[in-house]
Amino acid sequence: MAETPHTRFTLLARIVEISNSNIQVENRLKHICDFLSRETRSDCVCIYRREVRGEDLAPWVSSCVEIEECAMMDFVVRPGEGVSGKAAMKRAPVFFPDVKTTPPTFAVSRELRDFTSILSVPVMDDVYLYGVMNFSSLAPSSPTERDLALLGSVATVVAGTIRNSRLYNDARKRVSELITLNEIGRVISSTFEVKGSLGYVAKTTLRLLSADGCTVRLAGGGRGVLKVALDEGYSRPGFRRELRSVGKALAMRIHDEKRPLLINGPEDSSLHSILVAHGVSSFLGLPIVSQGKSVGTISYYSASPRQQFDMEGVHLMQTVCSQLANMIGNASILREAQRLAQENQVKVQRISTLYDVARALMSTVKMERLLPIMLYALISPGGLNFSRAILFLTAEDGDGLCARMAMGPRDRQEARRIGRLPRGLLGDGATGAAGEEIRNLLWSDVGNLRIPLSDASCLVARAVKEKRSVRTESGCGEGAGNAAPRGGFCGSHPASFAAVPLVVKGDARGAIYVDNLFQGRPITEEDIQLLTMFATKASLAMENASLYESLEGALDTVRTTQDRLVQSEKLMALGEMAAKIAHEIKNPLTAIGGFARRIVSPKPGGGPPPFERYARIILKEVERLERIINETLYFSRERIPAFRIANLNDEIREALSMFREELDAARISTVIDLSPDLPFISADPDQLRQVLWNLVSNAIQAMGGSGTLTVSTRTAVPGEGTGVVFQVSDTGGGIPNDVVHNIFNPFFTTKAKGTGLGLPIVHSIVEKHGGTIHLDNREGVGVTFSVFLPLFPKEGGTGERILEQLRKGGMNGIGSAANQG
Amino acid sequence: MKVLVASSEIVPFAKTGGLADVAGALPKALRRIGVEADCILPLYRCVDRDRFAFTGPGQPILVPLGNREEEGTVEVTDAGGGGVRAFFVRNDGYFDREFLYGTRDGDYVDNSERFTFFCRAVMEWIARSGRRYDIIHCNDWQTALLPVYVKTLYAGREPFRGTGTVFTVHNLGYQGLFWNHDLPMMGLGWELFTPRGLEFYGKINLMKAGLLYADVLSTVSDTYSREIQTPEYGYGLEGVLYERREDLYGIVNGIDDEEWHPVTDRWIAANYSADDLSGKAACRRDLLSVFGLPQGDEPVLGLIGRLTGQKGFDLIERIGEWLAEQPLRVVILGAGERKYEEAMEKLGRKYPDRIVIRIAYDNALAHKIEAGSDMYLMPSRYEPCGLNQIYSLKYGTVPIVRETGGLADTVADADENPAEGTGFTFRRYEAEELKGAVTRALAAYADRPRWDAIVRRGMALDFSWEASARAYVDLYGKALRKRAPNG
Repeated sequence: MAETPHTRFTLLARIVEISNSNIQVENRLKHICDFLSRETRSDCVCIYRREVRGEDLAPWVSSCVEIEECAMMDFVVRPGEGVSGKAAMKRAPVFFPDVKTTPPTFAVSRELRDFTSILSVPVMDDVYLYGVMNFSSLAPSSPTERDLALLGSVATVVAGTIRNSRLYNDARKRVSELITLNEIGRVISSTFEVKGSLGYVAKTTLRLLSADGCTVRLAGGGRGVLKVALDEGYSRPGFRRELRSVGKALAMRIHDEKRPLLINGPEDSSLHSILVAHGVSSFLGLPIVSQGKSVGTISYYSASPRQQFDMEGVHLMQTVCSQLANMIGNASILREAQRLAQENQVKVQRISTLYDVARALMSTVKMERLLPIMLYALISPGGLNFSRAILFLTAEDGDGLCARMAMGPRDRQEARRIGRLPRGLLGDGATGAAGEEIRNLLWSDVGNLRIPLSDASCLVARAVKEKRSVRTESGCGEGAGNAAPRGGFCGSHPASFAAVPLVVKGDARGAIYVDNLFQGRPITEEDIQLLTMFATKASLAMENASLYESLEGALDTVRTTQDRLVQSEKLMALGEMAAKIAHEIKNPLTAIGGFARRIVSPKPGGGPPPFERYARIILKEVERLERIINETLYFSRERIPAFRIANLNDEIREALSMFREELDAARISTVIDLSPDLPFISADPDQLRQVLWNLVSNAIQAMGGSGTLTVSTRTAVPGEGTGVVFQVSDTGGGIPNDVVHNIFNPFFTTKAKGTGLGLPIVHSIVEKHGGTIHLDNREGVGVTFSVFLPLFPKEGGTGERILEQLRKGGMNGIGSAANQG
Repeated sequence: MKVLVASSEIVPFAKTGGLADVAGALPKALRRIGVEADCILPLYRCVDRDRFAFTGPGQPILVPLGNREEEGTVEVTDAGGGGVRAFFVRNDGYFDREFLYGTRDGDYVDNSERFTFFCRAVMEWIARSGRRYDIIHCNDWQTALLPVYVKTLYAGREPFRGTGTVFTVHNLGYQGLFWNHDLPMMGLGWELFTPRGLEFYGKINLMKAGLLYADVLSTVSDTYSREIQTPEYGYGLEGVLYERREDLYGIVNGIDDEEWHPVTDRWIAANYSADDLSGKAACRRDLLSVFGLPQGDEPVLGLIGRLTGQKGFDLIERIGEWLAEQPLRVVILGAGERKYEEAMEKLGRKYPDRIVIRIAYDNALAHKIEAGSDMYLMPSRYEPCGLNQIYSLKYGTVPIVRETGGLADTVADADENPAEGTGFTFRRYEAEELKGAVTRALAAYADRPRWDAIVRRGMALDFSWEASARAYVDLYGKALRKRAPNG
């Protein structure tokens, strides 16, 4: 041993130097051992390391063997055992001068080997024991007090070296864990994909903890049921399988207690022995607790006795598990939200389908168009998307259902073709080509298919009898089977089919059969709901169509009657007119007759009659007669207008002059306000006069004894169109409001004697001129009729001619021509 | 084609072994055959800043290391010779140390961090500097993270999107095994830490990382590339190497003709050539006097190298006494494991007139030994390539080697191949085998004409770097093809 203070000092200085060098701690210790072995003349200097848990000592570095070889020595010295165990327990140097003659109780043969004397010095600081340092020699030796003091100092330096190295490694490990935790957090928070995240966490933490196996279990549907979500590690064959049952028991305990479980020895759990039997030296399990509820567990197994999990690992994994729990919680919220969104989307889809179908059903009131659209709505992909549909209607005799129409593909090829038909076809179904296309899909051979209502085994009959939708998921054989094969509408067995009744006002009018022969998907409850809603709409549409059919019939009858009435009314009007004409021509004829007689037989006693004056009077009366005849002719003419350039003002003046005497007799004053700038129009002057005649005579009649007749013309304002407007007003007290809407109807009259055809005729003439007529009725005051006439009526071709004229001669030319006429 | 040779040591800046020679000579040879090659290494304390003045200011870089960033600088010099630009990654905390990898007592405790920093710095520097290299040629574990980074952290990022990586194994014995908790510091995810990935018995194995991630692998001799696929030489990586055997090639190193040529060598007492070997005798006299050995006719046996088990020093230790009894003088130069140093020193003390050992790395002495020795001993347990046996051949010093790795590829036994033999070889790693080879060499030495023929055959062999560089260019092409989008 070191002899002098000087050599002791140099020895310690070298130890301190090695301790402080920046090389791996094992290398430093190895050099210290080698150095001490030379300097102290020990045959072997060996440092034992105290295990992290407990007091066991394991060989670490020795001067006799290489570092790697020492690491492979597989034995431990328990506290109190051998020389080292005693030194460790006593925390003081222990010296055995001759282990051969007096071996320590509980000797450890691998510690003693061939040595004779062994000195074991605890490697410790003031707090912690890091291990022991053994100085062994083959020959007997005896350390002095000084030697012991020196080796104690050396051991303290070694303790410091080990402590520093541990601190350094702890710091590095912390940083490593911190980065890993960070990364795990980043990965977990960037996804809602539970399985993937669990896989990542398992992979990462397995390696971080240096575990040999990791299993994640997740709570299933029922409470307390855990299912293995994934395994990681378990590279040794069979390891995972062996651990299944004990692993499950441990997981259940962790799940129930919601507490981490760390098992490193029998004191930790009774299951330790079972774990050891399966080659597990350490177990760590943690619950994944989300909102106070365990949603799963994560378990780690270590097979290496050197690698035991510790509280640090527990804390680390608790952080990871709480992140996992958050992620799982968020993911389930997301799943729920996605489910709701999907449900809503399905609902919206159904509603929009129903809307499309309803619109298609409303696009026609014609039964022969409606029914194909109905069936097409059932089989089109944009509609209810069944494979095939058959419409049954209740038979005339009320007992049985007759197939009316059927639609749907006969084979897969056709099914694909129908699937590719344009979406808009359904909405356009009421019109030409699309309707044709839809009607082409109808089957031609459903005529003789009939189902007796008494057939209880038939779904379609049942639907009608029970007035509710029915479905089956099996084939024809069971449900509509009895009816189906006869009609051949179900030649191949569909996977799934249903029937829905068509009910109107409580009566089943028929039924619809649908199946999913080519889709292959079952008909679901949702399909039935949709189908039922569809049936309601379809029933209504059919009802409408049938109402429309009967209405049309009624309307035809009314039209015929009306035509007949018009005919007889014409005759009546003719008669009335004849009377009027007779009356009208009676006066001039009397006058003509009188003056003619005076010319032929002058008054006796009078001078010679003034021939010329009489002739003039006669001429005038003849003219009047001619006019009357002409007027009468208007009524007998066909009512097809003969358009000409006309001056409305002239026509008004002309018409009014006819009523001159009548107006005078009825003491009706007239106000005539004719616009001088009124443009010419293209109109039938005769019919114009007829309009005026009717309106004026109505006004006169309405005013009875006295009043004011106002007739005015003006150019139409832009809002009314391009044309002229004339108004006829009376002060006859107006028409009672409750009947005013009838006045343009034929045969309606408020007059004691009248055909009631006057205003209808007016209306029809104005319409034929492309004009409009408005009525301003002020009850108790009077009525104003406003008639708008366009410059050119749309029909008749006159417009073209006039335009031609306009181009040739301009407006003046037309005006002058009209004036001349 | 632009090539960056990344290495932890490069001649003439820093050297502990053959890796530095290759990494120094290859870029120059590439330049000579028209390939634009740069090299990069850490700026150690030993880099002579007067001789290799930096060209312009350094480029500062920030290097992410786990949860922190380390600052660094990349310096550049053109003074390394051969037109090669040499870049230095500078961080004095990591590299301004007395040694490259550790003291003689052991490796630096922060080696994983130091070389992670180096690799990450290289990546960051390339990314920031706007340079684009078609090939990054990595060497041994210190630069093995580069292929990993190209394929993971920097995958798909410019300017690495077509960059091919070649990883050359110079010595599989040093694998860069580190604590698994260094993985986050390296910036890599735990998903890489699997037995199929970077994991190696619970630790990170950087050599394995390089073998897995580089596009093309190579070793420094054909024999070694086959040997390492077997458990005997594979150091646990034989499986990975076997799996990648399609991408594994062997290229024997060339030698630096300017540095190592007896006609021009400036370190030796007299220059000589195969035509006139008289200079070699002068060199021998010089060597013996430098090492303080008596002059005489007995052949001189030289030995240069790390005093480790790999170099066969346990065999030499075992036959030490026997050697001392042979008609020989033995000259040993090198340093290494303490126990071999001590054993050799002990031998030297016991036989001062026959055996001399100099514990040092000394380039001048190395030249003198290669030139002044008659025989050269290299009984390596394994030898990826070996350079000293090639220098010996060049210098007319007959090598006695074990048939392994590059030794087997470069030296032919003169007894087995009388017409082509250039040295003496033995197969099994046993003391008796070695003794046999030395005995046969001594016998041949006695037969002067035969000996001269063996010497001249060795000197006539071509070990130029150009040939090796062409072979490497072929590899670069293979790596680029693997990186091309359509295979």
